[in-house]
Amino acid sequence: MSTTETVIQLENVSKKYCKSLKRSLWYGVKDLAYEFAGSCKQRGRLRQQEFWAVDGISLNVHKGSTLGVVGPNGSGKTTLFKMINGILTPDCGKITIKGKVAALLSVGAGFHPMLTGRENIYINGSILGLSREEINAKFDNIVAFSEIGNFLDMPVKNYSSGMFVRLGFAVAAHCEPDILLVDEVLSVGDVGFRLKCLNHIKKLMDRGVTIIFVSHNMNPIRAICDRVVAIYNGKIIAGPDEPEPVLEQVQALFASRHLSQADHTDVPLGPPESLIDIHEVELLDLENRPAQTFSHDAVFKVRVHFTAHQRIENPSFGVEVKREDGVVCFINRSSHQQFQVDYIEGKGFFEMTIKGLFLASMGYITRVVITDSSITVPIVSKVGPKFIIKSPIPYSYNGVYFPEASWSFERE
Amino acid sequence: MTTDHETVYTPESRVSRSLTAAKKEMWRDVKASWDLARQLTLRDINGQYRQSLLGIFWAFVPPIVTAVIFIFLNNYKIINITETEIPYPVFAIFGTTLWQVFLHSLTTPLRVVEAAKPILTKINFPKEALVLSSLGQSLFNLGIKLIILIIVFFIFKIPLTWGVPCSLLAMGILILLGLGIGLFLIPIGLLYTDVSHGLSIITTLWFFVTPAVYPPPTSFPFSLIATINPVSPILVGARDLAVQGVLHNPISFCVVTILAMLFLMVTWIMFRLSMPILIERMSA
Repeated sequence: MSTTETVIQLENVSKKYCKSLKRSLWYGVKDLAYEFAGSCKQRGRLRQQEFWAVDGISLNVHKGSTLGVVGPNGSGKTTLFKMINGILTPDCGKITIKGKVAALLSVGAGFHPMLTGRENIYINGSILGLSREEINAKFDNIVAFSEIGNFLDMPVKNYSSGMFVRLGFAVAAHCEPDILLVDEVLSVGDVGFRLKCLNHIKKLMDRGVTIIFVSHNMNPIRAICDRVVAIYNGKIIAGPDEPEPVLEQVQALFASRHLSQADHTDVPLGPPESLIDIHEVELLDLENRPAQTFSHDAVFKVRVHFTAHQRIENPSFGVEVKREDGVVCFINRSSHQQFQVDYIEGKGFFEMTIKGLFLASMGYITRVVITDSSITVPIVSKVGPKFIIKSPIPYSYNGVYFPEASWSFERE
Repeated sequence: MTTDHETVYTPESRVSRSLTAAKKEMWRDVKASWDLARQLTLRDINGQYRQSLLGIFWAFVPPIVTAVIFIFLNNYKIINITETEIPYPVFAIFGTTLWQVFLHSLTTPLRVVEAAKPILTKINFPKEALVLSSLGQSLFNLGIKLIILIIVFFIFKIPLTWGVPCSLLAMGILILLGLGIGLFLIPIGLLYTDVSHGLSIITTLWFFVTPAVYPPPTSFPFSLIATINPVSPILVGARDLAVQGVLHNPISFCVVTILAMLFLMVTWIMFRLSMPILIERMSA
């Protein structure tokens, strides 16, 4: 649905914050005085104890596209969101927005604990810019979506946190914006509701709504975003580009950070010098011939050629297979299957063989990782080739798994 | 708003924009926030009384208690208040009730914006709704206080005159004066809590230099109380109009009314300009 029309344009946008509360308040007084005097010369420069939370970001988002924003805590994602939403004004640069923006920064903001769910739907709806008539028209849908049911007339202070979030999301989701900003809110709520929210977001995408999506969880980002941008220390460090290359860069960067912290050695931040290079990922059939299409019960081999620039003790190899719509089918690790390698250094390859994947007919994506002995931090991860599974059931089959089964029948 | 609607955010001070554009924007926001303001007002009023058995009864207590104290002190000649033209209990109850109306409208804006902090840092909505909601809550408070005044009218068999509707208008002006001062306090009051701490002391003192429970003094320097204090002519005017049907000092009443309206306009614009900067400091 993405078009070439730009709906969000950020030109060299910056925002600063102050580390000290006392100073921050005093700067607030000064800023007020400058604002009343019609001057903005204090805006563009840093005063004592101030730092750039967002530092010179330029970005264009096209109508109908879905942009993922990744980055560690405190990298400036939320500040950026608040500026796009107009809650904060930029200190430098210019932001141009076309259309109505809605932000899911925090669901249920504005809920009054003493009032019932019903009353709060109206209040929250009007804070989000809906008129009373619009809320009346959408009321039943909101209630159905939130799955609140019988608790609608109970004060929200007695709601469970899940119910609170569900109601908040349900109201926000029915605002019908042109641009929707989603920030982390999906990390709460149970799995079922998260999926429902993702589905709702997908529906909005189909309707041509432009979406910017922030999440720490890479899976929804892979599942729904067509482009991803990575932010660190207020700056763009990778992208905007297709999800996989950006996420790879980010993972590599943070892997090197974790390692350096563990070793107490100082590795400067920035694109890391990788410890291991993966040169090639091959998908092979039974006779070790490269293949792209596999029968569901055929032998499936992944061979990974790498060079370890340093000696790495007890590495663990991993292969992830993901359906093209983002559903992770499995992640196999050598260490889980009692396959030990004492160390790797220099050139080498590892191979994983599966006697039959028994997956449903569809396109799949592979990813390979090499981790250190702790398995938690990938040293290197790389997206491998795509492949297709052909099973006797046609392509439209929806299940993940196509197990081999035997059948029997008897009359009694 | 349609897709064609374009919004631009830049760091420039909004004072530098043209006045007509600013007025247009203000008017647009006032209109856009009408629904929301109503919702917020109802939310705050409902939420306030839901956990209370006696509910709005508590709104009657402060003016009555203050009035009773002064009636007692005056009856037993503990304090010496000059003879009033109307029965002293009527005089005192009207005075304290009107003072409470003013005080409520003065303290509400800061309270409302303070309570809205979590929404302000997360949702972009027309901030005018907070001003209108403060006004709505003050008018609701006036409505409740009017019940006391109506009861006083019955008990003391005060004749109804054309001054009564005029007095209601004067009470409205009293509220707008309070709102103007309340908005004036917001920029600094939101940054530093000193303002709200100091406010309770200052308003207590202010009560004593307002001719609420005593008639306006005529001898210098105490007559300054009536001339410098902007609350005096409006409060005294509202009481005189209601009880006696006359306005004793129309000139100072009109001057203060005009100044109060101008002041409200200026503080409202200041409120608009300061909100983005204040929100920055809230989330920082």
